[in-house]
Amino acid sequence: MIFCLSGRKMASRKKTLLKVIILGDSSVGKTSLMNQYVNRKFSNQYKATIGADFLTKELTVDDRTVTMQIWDTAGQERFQSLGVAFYRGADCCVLVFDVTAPNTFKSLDSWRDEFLIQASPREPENFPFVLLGNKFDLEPRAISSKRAQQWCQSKNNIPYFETSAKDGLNVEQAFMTIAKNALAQQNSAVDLYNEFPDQIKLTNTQKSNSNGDSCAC
Amino acid sequence: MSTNVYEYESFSCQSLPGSINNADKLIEESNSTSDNETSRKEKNSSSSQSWFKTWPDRYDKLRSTDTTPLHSPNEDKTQLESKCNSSETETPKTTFTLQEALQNISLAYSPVTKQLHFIETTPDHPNEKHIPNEETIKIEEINAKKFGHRRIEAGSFSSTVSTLSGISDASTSGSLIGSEDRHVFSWRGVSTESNNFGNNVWKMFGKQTYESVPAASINGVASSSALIQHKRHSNKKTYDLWWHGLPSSVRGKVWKLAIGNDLNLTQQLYEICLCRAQNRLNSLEPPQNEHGIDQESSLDVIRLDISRTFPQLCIFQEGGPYSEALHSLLAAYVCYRPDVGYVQGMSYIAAILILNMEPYEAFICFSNMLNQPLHLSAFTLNQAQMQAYYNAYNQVFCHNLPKLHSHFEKSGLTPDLYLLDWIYTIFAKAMPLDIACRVWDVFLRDGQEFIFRTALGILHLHRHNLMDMDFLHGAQFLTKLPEDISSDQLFRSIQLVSTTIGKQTFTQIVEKCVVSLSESYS
Repeated sequence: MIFCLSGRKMASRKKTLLKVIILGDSSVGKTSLMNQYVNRKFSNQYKATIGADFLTKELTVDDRTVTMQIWDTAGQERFQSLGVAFYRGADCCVLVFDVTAPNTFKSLDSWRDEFLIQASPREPENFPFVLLGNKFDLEPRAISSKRAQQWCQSKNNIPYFETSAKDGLNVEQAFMTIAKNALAQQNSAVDLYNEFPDQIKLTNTQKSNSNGDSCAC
Repeated sequence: MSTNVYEYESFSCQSLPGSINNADKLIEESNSTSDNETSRKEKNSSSSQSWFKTWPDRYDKLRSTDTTPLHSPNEDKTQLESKCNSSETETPKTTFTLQEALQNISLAYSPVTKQLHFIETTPDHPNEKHIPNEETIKIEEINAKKFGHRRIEAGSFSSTVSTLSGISDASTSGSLIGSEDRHVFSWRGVSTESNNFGNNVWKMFGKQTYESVPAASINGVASSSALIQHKRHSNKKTYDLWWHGLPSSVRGKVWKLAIGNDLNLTQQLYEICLCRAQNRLNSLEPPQNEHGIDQESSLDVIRLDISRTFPQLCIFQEGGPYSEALHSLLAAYVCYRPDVGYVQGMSYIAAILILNMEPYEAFICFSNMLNQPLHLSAFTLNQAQMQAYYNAYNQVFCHNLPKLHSHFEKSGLTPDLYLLDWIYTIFAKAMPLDIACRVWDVFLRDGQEFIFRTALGILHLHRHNLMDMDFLHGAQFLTKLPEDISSDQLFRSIQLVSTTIGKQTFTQIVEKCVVSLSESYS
């Protein structure tokens, strides 16, 4: 009973889980970014991701401890159709392109659309995306900052970061923004997702949500 | 391998004679020189024949050598060598290690006579070679009739191979083994199409004519392959030995035989596809997507994955020794099957094959492997069919490891999250290479359900750890299995799980799942 009465407080103190999914073309550096952020390591030896890889990171956002669950996905466009299970329940979607490869920038639209279709959040226009232009350390540059920012503005002001998974440039900042936006997303709506049963959502999150609900009544 | 020492009389694993190997090399050399001697016309006819004929290529090579009117001095060497081998085999009570036996002796165990047999390289029927095409077809028809007749004789292996004590009549044994080979491989000829391959190579395989190829020469490898195929079902000892892993030196050879070549692919086809792929890659024009299902555009993404395949081995890195071979194989496959194209995961399968055999052989094996139902569904991204496999796996999982199954259910760790990776790469990505190869050994023996059995074996092996993990740690653990996994422990676990439920085989369970899925959709 005590637990139930202080449910809301408990929920805020309790570990919050954020599901973040990284999308983008093959070889833009999704796995590298994730590993640079979580393990502070860079390697030239990553294997091509098949399906999805997973990593977690604990961090503190506005005095709250949150666990970020990062889903790193396969980059081949054709794998998009397998995405339903991967995308559903995401709190934030990170789009990545390679600043030296124009094609990877062009396919951002398709990645974003595909995500919105498959994850089907209730308010697609407000769903938090973050755009990362990776391989900032490489030359020659094919996509200028201006062009990337214009794209972001056209999509309801998506935050944009130029990163280098190799040097670690901007990686920490980018993921902090990702965490903040994901958290805001989770707070703003208890359940953004439609009525389909959520297979991949963690029981933890659901419990904390339902606790909050029952106490609010 | 010291534990695998067998009395050779009881030795039952198939021989893949080293002598034949060497003979191949010699013949290869002799081919290059004797080509000049043979008329151009004949060269054409032999190449167009072998175009629709089939793998193994060494079969062609032997044959074309036989065809040359001039007696090749190398042939003597071949025979000499096989004689050496025969004298070697005539000293009884010698013990061989599995590895030696597999490599060096032209031996085959006949399950019918329950004896070891020496396989001899027999000369071909000389009159068969110079017949023009129409007549060849007639002969094919005649042979096709004989074919049915001979089928009855297929059981009598003792007549097809010379026994240890005596060497039988080569001319009669020749045709018998030849026909036996056809039973085993179910070769099909595409005799009339050979001239117009040009642009639509792959289409040829859509309209195969089911004529049998001319009864032709045999060689030790082809005939021992017949035996190996036969024995896969009949000889328990081979079967058991196979379970313990193949020696890496013969792995490629055994894999080739186990995979077979139902698609009748040839080295020529590989080269044509490769050529097409290179043209396509070199041309700067965008691809024309007339058919809508054309995935040739996926050629461009292959390059990105080459160096990300087994990066720790370094050999597939840009400029590495096998980087080109891997790229070629995948590019050729995309041109051979534009309807499938390149899908991530393929590079791992291709790489494992390339590590074990010649590039064109790897291409043939690769294409045939991907033509099997599970991988065809996976790589054509046939979601409904894959869901049926996942559901079937889930049932078997629940049957074998009910506690872990319910734990996974509770934490939301669905099979697709980890199975996908395992199926698409046949464990090549998730496991250390040597253990993955051992899994491949048995996968190629037992077929697709062994992938699911291995999956259950992994869960069984780590069941205690996995019970303590939440969703994410479980998923993380399974997509990147521990490096220090012991293959013996893993196989012990695999042995303890089964992909059958009661009398239902895994295939039946999958079929049921397909039906129930289609019902739920409609």
